Amino acid sequence: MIVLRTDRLRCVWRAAGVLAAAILLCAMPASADAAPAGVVNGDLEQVTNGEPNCFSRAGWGDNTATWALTTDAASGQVAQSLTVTNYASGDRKLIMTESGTCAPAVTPGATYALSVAYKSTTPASLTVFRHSAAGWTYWTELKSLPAAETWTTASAVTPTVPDGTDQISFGVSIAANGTLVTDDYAMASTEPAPTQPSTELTYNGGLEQGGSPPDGWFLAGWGDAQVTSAVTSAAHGGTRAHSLTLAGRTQGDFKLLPTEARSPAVQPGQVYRLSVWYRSTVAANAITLFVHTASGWSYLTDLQTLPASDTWQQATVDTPPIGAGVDAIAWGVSLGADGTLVTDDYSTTLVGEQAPPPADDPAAAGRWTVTDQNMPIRSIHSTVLKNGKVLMLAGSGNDADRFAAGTFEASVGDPAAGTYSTVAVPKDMFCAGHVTLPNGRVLIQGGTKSYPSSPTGADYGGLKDSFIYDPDANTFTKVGDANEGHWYPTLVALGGGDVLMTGGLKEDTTGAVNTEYWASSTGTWLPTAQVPQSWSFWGLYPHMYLMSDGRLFYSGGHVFGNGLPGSGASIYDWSKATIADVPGLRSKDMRDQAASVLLPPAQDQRVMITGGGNIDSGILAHGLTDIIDLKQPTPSYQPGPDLPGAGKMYLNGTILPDRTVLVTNGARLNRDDSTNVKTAAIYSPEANAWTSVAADPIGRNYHSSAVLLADGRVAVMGSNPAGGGFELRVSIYEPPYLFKGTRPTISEVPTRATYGDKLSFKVQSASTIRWAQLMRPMSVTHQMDSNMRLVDLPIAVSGDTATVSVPANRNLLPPGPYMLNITDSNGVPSTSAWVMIG
Amino acid sequence: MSRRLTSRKLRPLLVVVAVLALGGVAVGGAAAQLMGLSSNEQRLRSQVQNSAGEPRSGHDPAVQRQTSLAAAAAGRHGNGTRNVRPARGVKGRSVRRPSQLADPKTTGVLSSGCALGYGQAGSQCVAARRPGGARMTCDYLIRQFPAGIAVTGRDVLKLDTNRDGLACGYGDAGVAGSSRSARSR
Repeated sequence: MIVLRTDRLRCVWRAAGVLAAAILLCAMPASADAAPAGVVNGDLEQVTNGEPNCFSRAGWGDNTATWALTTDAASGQVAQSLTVTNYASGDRKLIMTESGTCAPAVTPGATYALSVAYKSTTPASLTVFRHSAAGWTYWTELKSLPAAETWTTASAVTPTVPDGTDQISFGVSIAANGTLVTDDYAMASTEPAPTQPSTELTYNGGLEQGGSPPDGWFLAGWGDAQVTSAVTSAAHGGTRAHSLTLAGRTQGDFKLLPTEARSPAVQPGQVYRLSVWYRSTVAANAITLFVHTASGWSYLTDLQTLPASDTWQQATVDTPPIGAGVDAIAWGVSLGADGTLVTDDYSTTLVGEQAPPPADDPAAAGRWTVTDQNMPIRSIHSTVLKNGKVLMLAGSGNDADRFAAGTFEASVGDPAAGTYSTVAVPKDMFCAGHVTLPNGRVLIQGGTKSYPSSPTGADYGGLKDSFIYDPDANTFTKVGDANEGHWYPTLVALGGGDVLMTGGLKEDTTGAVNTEYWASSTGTWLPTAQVPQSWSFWGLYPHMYLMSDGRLFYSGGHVFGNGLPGSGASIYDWSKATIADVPGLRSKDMRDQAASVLLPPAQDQRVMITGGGNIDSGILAHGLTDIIDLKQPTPSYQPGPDLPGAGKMYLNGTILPDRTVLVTNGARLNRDDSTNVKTAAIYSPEANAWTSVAADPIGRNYHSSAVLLADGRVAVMGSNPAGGGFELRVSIYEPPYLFKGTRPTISEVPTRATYGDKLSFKVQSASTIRWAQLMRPMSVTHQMDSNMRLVDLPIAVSGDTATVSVPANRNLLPPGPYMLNITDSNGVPSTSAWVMIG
Repeated sequence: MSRRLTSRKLRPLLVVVAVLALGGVAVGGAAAQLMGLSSNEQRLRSQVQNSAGEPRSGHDPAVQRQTSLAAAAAGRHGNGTRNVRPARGVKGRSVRRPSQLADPKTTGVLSSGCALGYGQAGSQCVAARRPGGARMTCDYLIRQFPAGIAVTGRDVLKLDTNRDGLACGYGDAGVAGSSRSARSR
């Protein structure tokens, strides 16, 4: 037998054995041998290609780094010299290579003494990184180091190594012009690791240790409030709690958070339960979660809003599954109004892993059903009505023969009964714009005045005609014409109850550059001269969203061809007729028939756009996701997680009542059935991640649409591939929340409410009620519903009665019918009750 | 003698073993790191590091700016922003932006990306471009129109090479079984 030893593993080869055995034995070292026990090549004497083995030259920012090996060493013959010039930002450092073979192994619960010999013309820092299941992340600046003319030993002891950490890497960094020379990197354990790790991950959760703030905690936040932070003896448990009082606040929030060094270490894929006891004089509290990744700390989400309470209440919520690259979390209770919040007994515990959903488990991936009965018409425009039925418009249905014959169709589907009824249609509403009005009727503007003509080379022409559909009478009534014809316009409901219209093709088939304004009080379109005009073309079915200050955000989503000139996304202050581009949208000319959504809840003022293509280019559609936070003073799109699977256009995006977004259907090329992409995924704003779910068994592309029904299901309709046929089968998607046990119920819900009202109704729920919300019924066509939104309602529950607060800001929820529902702590929503807001 | 024989015979084997051992070191570090992790955790970890345990691009903290928790917690988000005016720093300006739409009379292509002159105008759609951006050809179009499509206007895409009034029908270039296609093969 031959035994070959290395520092890292024992590889046994038997002369009479087989090669496979050697491979197996070599490749399966004991875990204790996985990483080196100490610093490899700490004296830097082993050099390959001019660099010390197992060390890496790292850093970032705007500066010039010059690296050289020098014989002016602290010991031996080699040291590393680093000279930084032209410094503007960032840092530079030599650290142990972040790999399984170079970075030293560590044990959770232990502490380590680190040392480096250095000379430096500028102050430096001892910087430490750590490795866990989340990958490599920054850990801490362990010690500030003064400039040193002669060799000096920098030494410091690490904090307790967090759970899940298996390796560290460290070095000396400089963040200024100067020269740093380092040598003799070393590390030694200073105390044994505890044998029994604690299940409680929050340090000093009872706030009993330390002064004010308590040991391991600090006060964080922003805004203009006068802040009073103190430790109080009026505790829930023990003798200390934390009291936070805000006064004079107009914006911002404050919260007690664990320090970076004491923030709980976490593992990707795992779910953690957060619990805290609190009292608060105001209903403006939220459990706020931050995450730590390779680039540092960032806000993730407000996991739960908390009502006011005179007595101690326990708030408990689970995190979403921890995302890739996250190695620590920090959380606290934020206070966002004048008042006093007292907190105590914080706790963070591991719940367990939430595995990715198996495709055949409806509780994880949902379930699709194709209805027995086909649609009677080509539903290209779908609007959920105030009675829960669905108005489906075809007009001529993209069929030139029907147009020539004057055959225009509409139907009303009843999802509960599974029936359809027909409606007489006076004009060709194919490719009109539509919006639900404050009284629950539906305004339909425009449509097809003319089809293209091969002999003349004319494009489609848009109608000036407008109609109102009355769900109670089941009729269309003609109202006043718009000033111009509009084919593919976007109609946005405004906070005051009026409607703004942009985009489309005019009667003469050229682009409409006028903005039109519908006055609900008179039921007419204002003359062009009475509407502020930018005289700008907004394209076809531009994806416009009403912002909370009344301006419009154009997400860059559109129909047909390239995006608009400029950055491709903008804020449109229609009342002043001004436009401001916002940056960051990737592939703005490939957002044709993308999905864009005002992410739930609307109060967050974030818009996501995903996917898209370009019917003119022949370039395959993509799956890029960009997200913009409009609350920022100067917002810009930031990259989000890519849509899972193949990229696509013709995506149907639907906000679900568990505050996620379903995206389904699509294709890679212009009306090309052979490129249909049968995938579906649900985006969680909380986790900033997609989860693939079961896919619609029917491939759908152009002229497909999806609407959320009042019972929480999603109906998906249509597809109009290049051959001219139309998919008449309807697919029903039951999201995973419909398979997660008993649904909460609501009853005795008032049918009307106005802004600032408090609404009370009965609830029944086996689990804690987490959210209440109003959802605007969808009115969608061509992958565009600019008015879809979910509005958070702060909720207080007492016994079997819930009281919710309707926001006072009309721009958050323009008047009209809304679906009110609640969602429990398992993410299971109730069915919806209809409430007229206004 | 024995020592030389051993050396000669075992040298290749030792090389193999050494190579395997070194490979084992490289693989072993990562393999050991994956021990005890569920498949889901392994999947998530593979998104941030390679098989050698090195950080993937974008996940290396040593080459990135670090944001402190205090700075993150001082950002405008969540609870404290519910009544913040959105995009308050964005000032618009007057922009007169005319329609950029091309005229189908010039391009032969409608706003919908469909070429004029084929089939039922508007309803049926012959995309002007095939995948990759080149002009549409019959070898791709017959996937959507296996029997061809009538030429109802000008044959702007040159799909009716035999001029029988049927674009991408039998006898047209790029249609399998057509004489020209057979010749080109």
